[in-house]
Amino acid sequence: MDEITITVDGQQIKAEKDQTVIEAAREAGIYIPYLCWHPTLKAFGACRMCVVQIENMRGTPASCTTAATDGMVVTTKGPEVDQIRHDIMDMILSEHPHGCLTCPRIDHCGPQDICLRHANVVDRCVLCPQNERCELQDVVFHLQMNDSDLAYEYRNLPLDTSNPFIDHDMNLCIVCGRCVRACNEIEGVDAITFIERGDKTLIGTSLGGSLSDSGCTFCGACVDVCPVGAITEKDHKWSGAPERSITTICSHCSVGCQLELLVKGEKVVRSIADLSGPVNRGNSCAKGKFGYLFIHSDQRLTTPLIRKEGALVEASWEEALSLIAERLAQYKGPGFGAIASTRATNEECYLLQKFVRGVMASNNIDHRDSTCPSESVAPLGEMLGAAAMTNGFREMVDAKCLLVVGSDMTSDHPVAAIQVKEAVRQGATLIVVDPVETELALLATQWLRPRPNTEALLLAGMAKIIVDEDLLDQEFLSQKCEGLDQLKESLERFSLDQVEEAMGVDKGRLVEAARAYGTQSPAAIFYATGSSAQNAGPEIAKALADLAMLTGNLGVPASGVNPLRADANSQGAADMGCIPNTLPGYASLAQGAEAFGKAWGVSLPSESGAGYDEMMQRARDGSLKALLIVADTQRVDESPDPEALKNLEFLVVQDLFLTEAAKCADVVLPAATFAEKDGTFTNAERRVQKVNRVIEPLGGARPGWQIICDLARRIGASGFDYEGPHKVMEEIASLVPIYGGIRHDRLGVKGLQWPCPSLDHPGTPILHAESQNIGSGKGLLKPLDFQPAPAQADAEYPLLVMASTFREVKGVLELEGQVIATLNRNDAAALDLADSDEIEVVSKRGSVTARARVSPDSPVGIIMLAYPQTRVLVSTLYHAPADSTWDPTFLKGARARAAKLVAAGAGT
Amino acid sequence: MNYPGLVARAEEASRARFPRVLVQVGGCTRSVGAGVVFDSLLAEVTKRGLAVTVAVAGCDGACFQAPVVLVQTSESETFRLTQVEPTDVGSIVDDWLTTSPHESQDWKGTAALWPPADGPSGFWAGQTRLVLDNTGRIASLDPDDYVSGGGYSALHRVISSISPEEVIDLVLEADLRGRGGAYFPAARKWQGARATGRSPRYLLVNAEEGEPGIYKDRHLMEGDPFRLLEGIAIAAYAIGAETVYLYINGEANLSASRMARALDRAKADGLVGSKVLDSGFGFDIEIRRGAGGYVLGEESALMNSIEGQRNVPRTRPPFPVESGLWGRPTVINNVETLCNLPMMLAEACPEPGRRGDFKYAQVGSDTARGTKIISLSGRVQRPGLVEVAMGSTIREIVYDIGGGPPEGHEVIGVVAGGPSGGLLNADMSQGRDMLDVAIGPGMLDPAGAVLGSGGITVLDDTVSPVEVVRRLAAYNAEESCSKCTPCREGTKRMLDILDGLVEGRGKASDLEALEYMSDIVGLGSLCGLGQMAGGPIKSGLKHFKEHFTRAAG
Ligand SMILES: Cc1cc2nc3c(=O)[nH]c(=O)nc-3n(C[C@H](O)[C@H](O)[C@H](O)COP(=O)(O)O)c2cc1C
Ligand code: SF4
Ligand code: SF4
Ligand code: SF4
Ligand code: SF4
Ligand code: SF4
Ligand code: FES
Repeated sequence: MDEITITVDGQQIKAEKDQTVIEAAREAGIYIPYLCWHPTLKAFGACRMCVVQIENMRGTPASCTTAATDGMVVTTKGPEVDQIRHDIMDMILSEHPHGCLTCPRIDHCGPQDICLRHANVVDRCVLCPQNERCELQDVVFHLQMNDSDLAYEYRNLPLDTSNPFIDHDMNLCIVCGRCVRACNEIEGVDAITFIERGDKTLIGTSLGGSLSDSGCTFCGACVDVCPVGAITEKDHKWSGAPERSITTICSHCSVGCQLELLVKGEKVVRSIADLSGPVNRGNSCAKGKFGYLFIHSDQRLTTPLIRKEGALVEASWEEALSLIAERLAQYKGPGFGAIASTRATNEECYLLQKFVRGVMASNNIDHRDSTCPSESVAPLGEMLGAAAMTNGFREMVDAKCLLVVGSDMTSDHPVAAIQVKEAVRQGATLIVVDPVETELALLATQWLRPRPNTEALLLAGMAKIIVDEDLLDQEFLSQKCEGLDQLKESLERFSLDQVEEAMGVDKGRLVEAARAYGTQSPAAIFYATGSSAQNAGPEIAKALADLAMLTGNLGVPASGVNPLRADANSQGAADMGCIPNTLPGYASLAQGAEAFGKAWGVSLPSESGAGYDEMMQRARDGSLKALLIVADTQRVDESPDPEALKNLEFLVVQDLFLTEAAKCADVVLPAATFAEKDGTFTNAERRVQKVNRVIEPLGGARPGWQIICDLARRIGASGFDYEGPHKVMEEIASLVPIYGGIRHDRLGVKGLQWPCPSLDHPGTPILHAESQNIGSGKGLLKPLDFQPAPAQADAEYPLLVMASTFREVKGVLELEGQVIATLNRNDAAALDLADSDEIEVVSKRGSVTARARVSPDSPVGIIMLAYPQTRVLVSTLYHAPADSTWDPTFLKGARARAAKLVAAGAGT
Repeated sequence: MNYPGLVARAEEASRARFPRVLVQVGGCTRSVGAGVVFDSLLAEVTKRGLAVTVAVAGCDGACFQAPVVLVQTSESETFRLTQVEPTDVGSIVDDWLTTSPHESQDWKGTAALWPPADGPSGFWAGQTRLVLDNTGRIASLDPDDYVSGGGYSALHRVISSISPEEVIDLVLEADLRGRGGAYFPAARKWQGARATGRSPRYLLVNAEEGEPGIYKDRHLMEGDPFRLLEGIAIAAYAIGAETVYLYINGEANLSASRMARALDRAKADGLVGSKVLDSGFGFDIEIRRGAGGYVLGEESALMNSIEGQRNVPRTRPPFPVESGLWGRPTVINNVETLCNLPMMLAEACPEPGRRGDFKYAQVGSDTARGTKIISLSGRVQRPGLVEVAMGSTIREIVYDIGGGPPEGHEVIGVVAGGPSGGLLNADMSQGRDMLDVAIGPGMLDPAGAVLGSGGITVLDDTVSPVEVVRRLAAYNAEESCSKCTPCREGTKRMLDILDGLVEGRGKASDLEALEYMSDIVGLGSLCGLGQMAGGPIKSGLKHFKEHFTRAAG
């Protein structure tokens, strides 16, 4: 990094080459007023507030667009620049309410006070949502403006409050362009733009309609950058300036964005994407931006509940915990099981499995992941040595080819999708393999749409083409992998025609895709298996790992095989051993039982444990008797089948809300949300990041780690006395080599990516990068078997439900607000449905009404439910999660039948 | 095709070219019926089965005489008929085409031999027509006609015997400066782009010409499109540009269609493409169109427009030569700038006296070389498009060439440089008569007037200078792209005050406020539009003080 020295107001400061004058000054603590500049955005040079004087330069250059050069002498204050700034501010204020701005009483005045200056209501800061957190105010105060001699005329423009998240009041806009640039540079959506010209210029939507019509994703980037009250969050609009702000990790998806939560009066009032977040760098999605409201939902559980005479009644912690301790003592052994939360911290997951194995002597423990279950990741462990993403999110902009399989990234992992879209904008080839129409599918260079459950076949076909056309990375294969012959042999056992026949994609297109992936490097793979490929997850993972090894796409930036696990700590739950028969750090029972047993001072049970599905099966058949479900249900209710739960002798549910499962429980424990506890999350790219307590737990809720320790102690176990989560991490580090160097105080803002074996290890952003070895030995290529998907016939529920969201665009989809159900015309004919019919889609779990859309291209046997994006966001982010019938995940993957809705009264 | 091949073909063609009628059809003369004249003449000639070529030429600049028709009986004899109407077609054929005509023959307008001569000081005699040389005289879309006049000799010479670096040196030495208004040395930009060592490099030809009352680039494209293509080819060679974007104003349809047709011909003749004149040098030209108002002509707004972004200027640095279109080194040159190149670099000249012994540097003054095309308009007897040597005075342009004000009126001043320029007064109030200012790069007067792209609008005693300033200010306020605060808000506020003055609501403090705001807007604005928007106001206040004081009274 070249360092240069410049002089600012007589003070010598160091700056980096390529820094602008304003950046250099800011870093040195010298304030130059600015309005259009923003640290996340490219310089724009529009407001001219940042003008300075520079020796040997003409006029008054804008410091935000002028590069600092060695030896430069800058003056940021002085009569001339002050005068220009004053005059420019005068011009701004002639178009902006300034009754309060130039009034000495502003700090004392409240909205209800009578204005001594008789300022008009539309002319007063104290009546503005941005009051006390307004950058324009800050600049005006800095400039010490007294009265502005220019008259203010209210623009009298109507407010746009038509969407549930963001309000526009263009009467307050100062046309700094930050929002437009944020939408373009950060989110890449261009939903908003400048409208009109000359002095009438303001901000509006690109398509002229509502925000959601224009493709807005409600990422909130524009809200975060708007310096004034022109674009504001609807929620907590009037909460004013926050009292404090704490940075933590988003609790929704596995991207792991850092968010700054702003707090006022022990209430989280705003969420702002953190600039220093290593993954998001100032980006967030609607879930991260607006999805914090569940924290203060009035539906939250705030006290333990105990079932008495059939009904759940409030109880004290003492009562609840001693009851659980007493009952659980009877179920030690394989009759007990537990389900971990994918939003619990690593420390909590570790403690839960320690409790299950060490105290309850059972190996029945698992977690559930809606997009990429651990079975779909496990083959990577076997073949590549680590069951996680090989690479990171940020680097993906540099990929030349991206293969996205089965993942609706823009809706499930939105901030990661931004990199994918950016790569495409820079010319990368995007291949999407998905039976479901996703936003990325529409953007893709090639969208391959196989029949559901035949993705693995399609990928095997790609591998075959790559081998047949000799697109192999021979050097990589010979040095780093084994099993090539067996793989080749397996590929010889089928023909491309068979693949074509089974999956229904033209083989010419498959060849094209295989060539694109095989010849462009770096090429990266993202995948998820939850949406359609029900049991084929492991097969998909195997084929993908093979593809990456065949083409040598491992160990370099923007390459690799990258599973997209669903939730904030799905990865951590697996890392911590919340999977049957695997101890923390992926040690097998056989390998690790002794060491862990010794450390915990117990002997670990040896019989193998049951996973989620098997536990449910055992609950039904009565061999599982007691179950502890730890869940942090923030959005959709993903409770297990109540029928199975009701069959248990004893059920404890620890959750945020009274979910369907909780309603079946004998004891319900109120848990604290992510914002109410300390710990760590591990995101999908193996990055361990610090979760920080922002507020005290609501009511009687308690952090999960405390609950489990308390419980263990009551059962008489030792080894559950921790000063805090940081001590739990120390114990994890001592037992789990890949977490060996992780300590809370080492995480800083960037976190650490495992493997991080020692205290001086910087973490591993890219797996298999330097060492000759992949994992502990060589990468293991696996044979790919050709198995045409078995036809799944179910007379009662003939259709498989797939779900996606769509952006409402009026005119394109006039059926605004309705669920659209697309199905193949043959299926439609068999069910006697016609285009535009109002239909009901019924599964075992419930039903949804929708408008039918009959298409010749839609795969047979599938009913594709598309939900309007805003509705989904509203329902999942705003309401208590118990019955979110608007969420696509509600019926996702279920089997269903569809029938025409008969209008009431028809037929009489 | 190689150059000798082109010359041979042109020689062949020139034998069959005459007799010929050229109808000067330009964007402006179409409005006075030139297109209809052409159609009728063609129909008449065809009907009578005459062996006469009828072709379209550009307008020669004498707008006050349009429509003009040239009757060329042979290579050496051309008659120029003015104020032609469609109904004159019969008599043109009878009197000028089927019989041997002579100059003093009866014609309702003027009839004269080409090149027109009108005494020691006059519309023609006052001009130094180097760049406009062909315009109006040759058939716009006949490449052979262009070659016969020496066309492509410069390109041939450059490609076959001069290295790009040497071309840059030659043009630097000749001191060719940008005719788009800023007068930056053209070859300095080429050098800058080359020096980056990065490719691809682009040449962006600015043919936006959005300034009101300016029509020089359009005249060049309509009347001499191959000259522009040759200039482009030379510049592309010097820069090492693979792709050239020719950005033509969205309303200049005639320019665009002639350029498109000329480009097709040039490609067919191997003058644009992978092997220019059969050499190893290749480049391509893409025509782009767009509408977007005055500020679109600003180079960085133009680049944004080509990239599909909003037409607002970018901040500098980086400068376009380092990071322009799509972040690549980009040179932006004006049409007129490039049209200077063929005659500058031609050496061998098939038509002695016009090109070969010409030394660009001998024309103009020491500080300003060459000529400038002036769009002369307003209260003057002979408005039009004229080309004068740099260093000519405004008086020469207004009186000698323009013939002074209409009978019985008096010139009170001029607007030089349009809305980004300023007013000059015609009396001695400033100690000297501002009409004696010589034209050249830079400010003509510190208060605001500039040569700019060459617009001179004459004001006489029927015009109110306050109203003129108000109109220019209204134009700037309307055209402000509104990106930066001082320009967006300031231009509007200055207009408000000027509206007050014109409508009789003026007050004494207005003048001071105007003066002050002009400075602030000038100092604070991002691009030339805002930086120069105070010019008309400040110069108006300075040179027409009594008018303003009266209005503020
Ligand atoms: C508001 C504004 C409008 C402009 N319009 C034009 C124009 O219409 N044509 C043009 O060639 N240059 C125009 N320019 C100048 C260009 O920015 C640029 O300097 C020029 O095209 C460079 O070419 P040259 O060096 O050959 O003159 C304009 C500049 C400003 C500030
Ligand atoms: S945006 Fe800021 S300055 Fe404007 S009214 Fe609101 S608080 Fe006051
Ligand atoms: S919320 Fe995001 S997508 Fe919507 S307008 Fe703002 S920046 Fe654009
Ligand atoms: S809405 Fe806000 S961010 Fe956007 S231009 Fe207006 S003031 Fe700036
Ligand atoms: S992308 Fe994921 S982690 Fe980031 S804000 Fe959205 S939901 Fe949260
Ligand atoms: S000076 Fe005017 S025209 Fe130029 S960028 Fe600023 S607002 Fe736009
Ligand atoms: S902050 Fe530099 S111009 Fe706006």
